[in-house]
Amino acid sequence: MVGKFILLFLVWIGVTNSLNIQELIVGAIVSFLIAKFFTPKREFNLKDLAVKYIRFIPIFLKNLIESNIAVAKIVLNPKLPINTGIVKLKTDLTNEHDRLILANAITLTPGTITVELRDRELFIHVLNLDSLDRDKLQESIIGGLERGLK
Amino acid sequence: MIDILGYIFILLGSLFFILSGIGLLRMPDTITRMHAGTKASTLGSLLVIIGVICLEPTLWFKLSLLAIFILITNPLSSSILARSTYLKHGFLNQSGIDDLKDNR
Repeated sequence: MVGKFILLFLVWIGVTNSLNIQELIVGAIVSFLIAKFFTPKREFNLKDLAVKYIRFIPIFLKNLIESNIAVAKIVLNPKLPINTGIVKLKTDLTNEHDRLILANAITLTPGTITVELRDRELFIHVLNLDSLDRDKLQESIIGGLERGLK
Repeated sequence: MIDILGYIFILLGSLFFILSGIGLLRMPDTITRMHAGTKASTLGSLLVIIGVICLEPTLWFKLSLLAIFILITNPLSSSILARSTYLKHGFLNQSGIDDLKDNR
């Protein structure tokens, strides 16, 4: 709870961009109320999560750039080579935060949208299915991102 | 020097915006348009934000907050939009693969 309060308060200071005492008091009250009433009962280790997700950022950025270039090539190709479909892929991640981040990362990388997430099954709309082999798709779509979150 | 770097980033970002615009016009149905439109612009906006940070370093905190909010809200909204489009209208299925059809 204390960590959340500090984080919210820092965001407040950053957004208001002023150290006026009135603004600080209002910010402290609002941050305290949110941290008090909207903190989940279940505890999780914020530090471990932060380290893991910061390690994930470069992997994600690499994927983002690669797939942006891939989609740019498709868009500029006069034949518009797309082959759409929704495939079901499985993930090994057990932690639900990790699965949410994985699904969001897949959606953020162009060419794939996570349409549905059920337990460990991801239903992904793919812009250009280059092979119909499930193992290859599994590796090319979620392999790298998943390893980054383990 | 850092100014020039900033302008290069902004130029690259605008390039991705143009590409996503072209994609919006060329793609055949709603979900494929979302691939081009909403998401090719993610990298575009990130690059523009990095460019503006290079030009105006004092704004770095607000701009990085902006980047984080784009990274959090963009996938959620596009996922929900794609899902509701799929449930209401289906989608242009070119490969014939639709694993969600049986258990939606």
